[in-house]
Amino acid sequence: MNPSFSEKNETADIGEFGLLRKDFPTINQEINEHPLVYLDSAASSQMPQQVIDEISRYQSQDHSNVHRGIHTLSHRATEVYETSRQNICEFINAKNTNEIIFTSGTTDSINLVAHSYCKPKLDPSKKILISHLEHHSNIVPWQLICEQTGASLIVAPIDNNGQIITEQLIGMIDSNVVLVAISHISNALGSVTSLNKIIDAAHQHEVPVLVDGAQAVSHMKIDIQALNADFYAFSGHKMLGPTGIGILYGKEHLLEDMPPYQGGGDMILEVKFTGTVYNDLPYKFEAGTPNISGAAGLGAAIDYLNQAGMHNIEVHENILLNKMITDLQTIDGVELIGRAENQVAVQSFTIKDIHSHDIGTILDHQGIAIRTGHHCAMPVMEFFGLPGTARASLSIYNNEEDVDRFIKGLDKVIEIFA
Amino acid sequence: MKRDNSENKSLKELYRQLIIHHAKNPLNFGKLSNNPIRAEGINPLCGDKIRIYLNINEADTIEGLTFEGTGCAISIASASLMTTTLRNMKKYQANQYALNLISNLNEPKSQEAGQLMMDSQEINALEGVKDFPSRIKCATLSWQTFISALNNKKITTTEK
Ligand SMILES: Cc1ncc(COP(=O)(O)O)c(C=O)c1O
Repeated sequence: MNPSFSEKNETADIGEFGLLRKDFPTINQEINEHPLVYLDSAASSQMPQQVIDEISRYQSQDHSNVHRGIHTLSHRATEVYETSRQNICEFINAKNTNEIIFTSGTTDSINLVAHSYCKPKLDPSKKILISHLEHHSNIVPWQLICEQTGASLIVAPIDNNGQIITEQLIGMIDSNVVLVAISHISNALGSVTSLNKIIDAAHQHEVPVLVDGAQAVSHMKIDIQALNADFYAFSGHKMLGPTGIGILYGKEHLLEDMPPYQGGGDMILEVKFTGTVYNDLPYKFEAGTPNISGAAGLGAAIDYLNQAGMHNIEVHENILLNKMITDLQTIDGVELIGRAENQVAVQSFTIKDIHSHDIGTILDHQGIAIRTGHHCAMPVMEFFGLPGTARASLSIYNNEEDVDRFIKGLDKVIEIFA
Repeated sequence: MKRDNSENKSLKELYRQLIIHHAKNPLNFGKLSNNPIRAEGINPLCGDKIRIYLNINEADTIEGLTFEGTGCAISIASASLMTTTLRNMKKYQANQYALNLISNLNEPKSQEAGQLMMDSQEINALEGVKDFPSRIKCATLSWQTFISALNNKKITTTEK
């Protein structure tokens, strides 16, 4: 089933994004007696019916274990799983499917790299370089392995617009840095990192770069070969897919040299008590029965994104973001937090003398869902001297009316606190 | 437009004028001198942080009670109301009062109109959170922190 564009079009016309909305059952409901306005896709996006149907089709027709049986269902399950891997490989333009590891999500992907790639290389003379903008899941795994090995975690600064200061970050790279780990897009502020410059600079020192792409994949076209990142992590549930599935992309030669992360079934070729032979890529990193239905759903989500067209999505969301920013600026007392030159799908803000939690409750009461608090990025909040912000984030299914309702909802917040 | 009325009603119950007033002008906000007992309360879900300062005299009476911190309107107003309510109570009374309030706020709304949750009009202004389950912890944070201060527990959290 194609996304609900008019039939003549292969890909969507921007004006037709309104039609897409009816593909998303969760979006089409009333919350607190108002039609839902969902502006929390940066936390988790909603799934189109096509994804839900594919998961259900897999569960009701093809389910079995993968790579294990001689029987038909096992074959079908394996096919679903591996087709999804192929789909993901093409979606980000990886060289081949050996570079696509299924994980449970971004967090799991980052932990895999921390333990399997970094930890064996660390000692007290070594460093891991991150930025001040990171999500906790791109901070804490590094802290843990630094504590265990005596290595240091160093943090590149951000400016008042909420952007990584690229030159300073680059200046911190030397041959004792084992890995640079940075987000592609900040979940708290929507700032886009200047990855090309950073990756080039890191490679000049032969330092690999891990990119946390959790917030990027559903908003812009990712060409991993052009980007030349060494590792790239993302989650299914932030790209119209289900929870519990994610991807670690890694360059093949790096993955080849890494020891397995977890041991178990599927990741071995031969097990003897005198020694075990590990399986080839990508299975070496996929111990145990994987999340097959999650992979099926993620594959369907990618089909959906492809049919809508990543370029169209980018244009659509950019129009909405600009409208949202313009409208927010007309409200007295609103301060925008994060004004990056290049910003995608997210705007954080505060309202003078009103705590973000109160903003969130009053909006929710009007059927409007936003995120409030620290957004799992406490160092970002600390940088701005704030306990938290309110954050509205956009996706493919949002429209201008959502932005209008959101802005009107904020008037109500201000009225109550007047 | 009936729908709009009922919707406004529970929001207005949550953000009563008294609550907004205390949130904007909290009483007893600041530190205490004389080496007070301190305790910190954290709601990790929203990042609210409240610090309580407490002086108890030889007769076991709460002589000084102040707070500091950041939080939403509900948690700040609740902390402000707590300081005025518990001050001058005996230690055991204050402890019992805080326990009662926490358990009352966690109980469903009374069906009988006019039945008061606690014996104080002001404290009953907190009752609006009952329609907002995610906000009950905002209202109980400072009271819970007060109890841990009495028990010499330095740090407490709404998530166990
Ligand atoms: C930038 C960023 N990195 C990492 C994560 C963690 O993703 P997950 O919780 O799916 O592992 C998130 C989302 O929560 C995120 O926004």
